[in-house]
Amino acid sequence: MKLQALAALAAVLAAGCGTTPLQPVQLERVPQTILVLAPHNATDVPGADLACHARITQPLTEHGYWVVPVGRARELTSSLASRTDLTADEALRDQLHRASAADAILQVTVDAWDRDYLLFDDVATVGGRMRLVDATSGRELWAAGYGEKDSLFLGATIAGSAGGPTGLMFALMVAPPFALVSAISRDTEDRLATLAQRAFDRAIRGGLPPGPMQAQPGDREPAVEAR
Amino acid sequence: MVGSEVFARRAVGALLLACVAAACAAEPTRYDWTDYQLAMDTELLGRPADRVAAIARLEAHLAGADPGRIPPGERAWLAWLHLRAGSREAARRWLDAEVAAHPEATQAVMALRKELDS
Repeated sequence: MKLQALAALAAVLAAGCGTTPLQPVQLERVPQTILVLAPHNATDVPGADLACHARITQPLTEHGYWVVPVGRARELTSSLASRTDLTADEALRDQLHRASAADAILQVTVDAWDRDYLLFDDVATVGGRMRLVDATSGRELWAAGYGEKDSLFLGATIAGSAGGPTGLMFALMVAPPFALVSAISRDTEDRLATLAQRAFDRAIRGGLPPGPMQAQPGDREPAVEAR
Repeated sequence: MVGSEVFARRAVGALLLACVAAACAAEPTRYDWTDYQLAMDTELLGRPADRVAAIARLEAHLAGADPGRIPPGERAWLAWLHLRAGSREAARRWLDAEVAAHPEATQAVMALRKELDS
């Protein structure tokens, strides 16, 4: 009887995880390359912008876009650029386009970067906004919010997608064996950075159409390999 | 049913759930990000703060990895690291390799290369 209940719970979890709605918008022009500006940090936590910048390349690339190396992007821009309305500021947009040759420019704002400790709970939250602008025309191609909450209840992770009563039951059942491991291995910065990456991934997969490289079966073997 | 059997069944159930949850939490990735992500963390977050080691790791990864699992842009990132470390020739080689692997990014890579040629 209990095994049946466990199986049912597992099925609910699996179903909940597998039904992430994917409704990408139609872009006027799908860019191939993206320059991600240094994010604007609207929180009072130093370094939140750096962590976001370090973790956004993977979700964009996995979704089929070629991303200008973020080290280079940081040299070209400051966080002030992410606060600028690039649809209106043609001079800045043109300058960024000439320097990077990217088809589109992504502006990121970090609005939430928190970790709250409650009695038996440890809640991490990240969130903000993204805006993709065509580098030549200045038209806004896509805009979305991103956000993710992660709760370490007695050491077990309940991601937002597995939250609610099901997540709580799961936490109660598996928390003790994992509590010690979690307490030792997780630190705030890594946890929030990982959470930000997950939030970007979800927002990008859920709203941005796949980029040109998504359709390819894989990276081609380069004709000239620098070895 | 004896107590130990009940405990064992609960443990198996909990393990099953943990596996399901872990599978849900981790989106499958097409590329191998281990070294590229570590190199970005090194540069932006300073963890670990060792650019030379990051370059060596990326070189090793690119030398041995399945080309289909190398993230687009990893070679360009390595080129940028070489450029900042003062190795212009190595930077040039890796930019050429990036263009060869991802011709759709040619213009963006060439913009980076302009700095080399200037």
